[in-house]
Amino acid sequence: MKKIIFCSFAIIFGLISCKDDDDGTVVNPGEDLTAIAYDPTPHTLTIPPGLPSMEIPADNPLTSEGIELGRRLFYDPILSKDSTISCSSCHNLNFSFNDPKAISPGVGGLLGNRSSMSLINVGFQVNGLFWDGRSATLEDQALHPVENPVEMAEIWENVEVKLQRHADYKKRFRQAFGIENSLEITKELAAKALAQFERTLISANSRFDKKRWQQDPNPFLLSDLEVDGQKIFYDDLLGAPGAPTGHCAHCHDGGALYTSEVYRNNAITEVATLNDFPDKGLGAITGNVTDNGMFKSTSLRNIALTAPYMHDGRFQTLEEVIEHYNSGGHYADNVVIGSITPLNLSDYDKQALLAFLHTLTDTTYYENPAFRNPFE
Amino acid sequence: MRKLAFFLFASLFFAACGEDEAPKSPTATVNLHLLGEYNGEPLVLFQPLDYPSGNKIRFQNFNFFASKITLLGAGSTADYQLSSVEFFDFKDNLDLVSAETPLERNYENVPVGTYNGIQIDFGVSEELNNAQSGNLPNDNPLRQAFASHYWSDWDSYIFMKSEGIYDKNGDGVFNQSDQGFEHHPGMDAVLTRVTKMTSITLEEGQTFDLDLVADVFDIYVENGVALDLSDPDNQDTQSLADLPLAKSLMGHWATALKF
Repeated sequence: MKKIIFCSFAIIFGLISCKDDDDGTVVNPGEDLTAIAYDPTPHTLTIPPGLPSMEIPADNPLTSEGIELGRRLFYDPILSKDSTISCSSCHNLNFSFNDPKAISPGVGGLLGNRSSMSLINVGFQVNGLFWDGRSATLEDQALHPVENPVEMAEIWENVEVKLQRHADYKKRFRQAFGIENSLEITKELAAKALAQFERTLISANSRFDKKRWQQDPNPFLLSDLEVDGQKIFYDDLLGAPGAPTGHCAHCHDGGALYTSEVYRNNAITEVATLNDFPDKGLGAITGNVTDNGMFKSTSLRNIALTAPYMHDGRFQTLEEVIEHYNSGGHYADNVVIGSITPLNLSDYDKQALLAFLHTLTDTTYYENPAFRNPFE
Repeated sequence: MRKLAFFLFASLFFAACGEDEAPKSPTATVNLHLLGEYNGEPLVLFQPLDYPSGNKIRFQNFNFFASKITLLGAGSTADYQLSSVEFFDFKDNLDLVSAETPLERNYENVPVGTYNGIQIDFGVSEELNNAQSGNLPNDNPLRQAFASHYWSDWDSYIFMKSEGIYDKNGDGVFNQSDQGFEHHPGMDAVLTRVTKMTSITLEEGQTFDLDLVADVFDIYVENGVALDLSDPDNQDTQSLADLPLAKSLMGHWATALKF
């Protein structure tokens, strides 16, 4: 009898405590997670030759648990409104974490106006993320697609509730970040986990990496055609009169990053004035008219895997891209015409450049199980 | 009694430790202001400017590294290095108001005294230029500008980027028929040390404003003779054949840096 009375009191008291004092709505007390061990394992990245240092934010150190949580969130459509779109929908491992579609469809098949970007080596970037550079950090970047109406079309409050109710994620957030209650799962922690996973997406094992950065002594690593393409890419011709130059590295150097992380109008859009760009790119962020039509130079690592090309995916092949730059493109007042200028490359030069671009392909990262979809 | 003795002994011990500390040397703060100019006027990017040839020139980018920024000691005052390397970028000089606002660097805890002048290596000093960028913290200028300014083929940073367009045909209109220029000198061989003498007196607790000017006009014009920007050979500094031009441009920092 005592037990029944006690239980009754406990239930009534419990129900009362779940009610808001003012409006009577039921308040979810969340789930106490402290019984789950919190002992994260620090994770140290190995930075291959040719790549710069990577900043790890002090408030988001890499841990095995955080990275694994990020990987699951990355591949889980739970972040989208109708559970159809995950990060990996537009950032496919098999395409260097890019999308073979010019414009990736979002929830309901809606299309935006920009192509997705490769995430390989994204953790090394320090000069803004997205084509227009609007995010300074991966932690900030990861927040945007969820609420973009042409991407995941969800709101973070809903995502937080879904994650707070999810048995496995509750455990993993606890293990990664030491939260004590499931209600402490927030968008900020989800973004931190995604950022941790993205910082591990390192690739540095292409044939050109081996030759240039790993000092591989194999003299046959690159063909003569590819070496000629390398010279055109880097304008490395020791001043030979009339030698072909591609001016490529002005925007695609940065050691083994193969991006200079600069914002440029690469002359693909013909406009009468700088105000006429259909997509203002960086200019829409800074408000400077001279930034209109400027987009971030992407990494050329794995470029052969990431067609179509440009911020709007207008070019289907690398041959088209080379032809564009060979033509000099369309003048505008913010085009740096010192390098974006008619190149007068011969057919052989173009073949050589194309061959060199293929030497930047690293498929070994495919084999890394830590990058793969954990739900497959 | 023993406790009291111990307490007194301990007090004396700690007090003695305090006395051993070296007295703090008096220090001051140096605020370095660097104004970008073109021929004595604030440098505004994307604006047509008069070139000595009579044609117009327009700059789109102007930035550079300065390393070993050092106050030169005088008498009992030793040389003092304010910074091992800085990156100065005039990318925000898009209107007159912005162009009139100098770039600023703040150096605290500089020993007081009278200095004879300032010495700057324009470019990246040899030891830094040859260092591995993989070990640099993110806030280091060499890390921040690694992607944009490290030229792999030279194994060197690009020391200066001066980019723009020259109205080659003199019709007053800039377009693709004109001459773009993209001067990116780098390599240890073009590092240029510039010394400017002036009396700099730093007083304890005070802030000294060190006002400097980088006049890009003087990069291109020496003793009234301007680089012929209509000559395609002067369009860029990409290969070893361009080394004389690269050296010439960097050498002009001796006059381009002004108080």
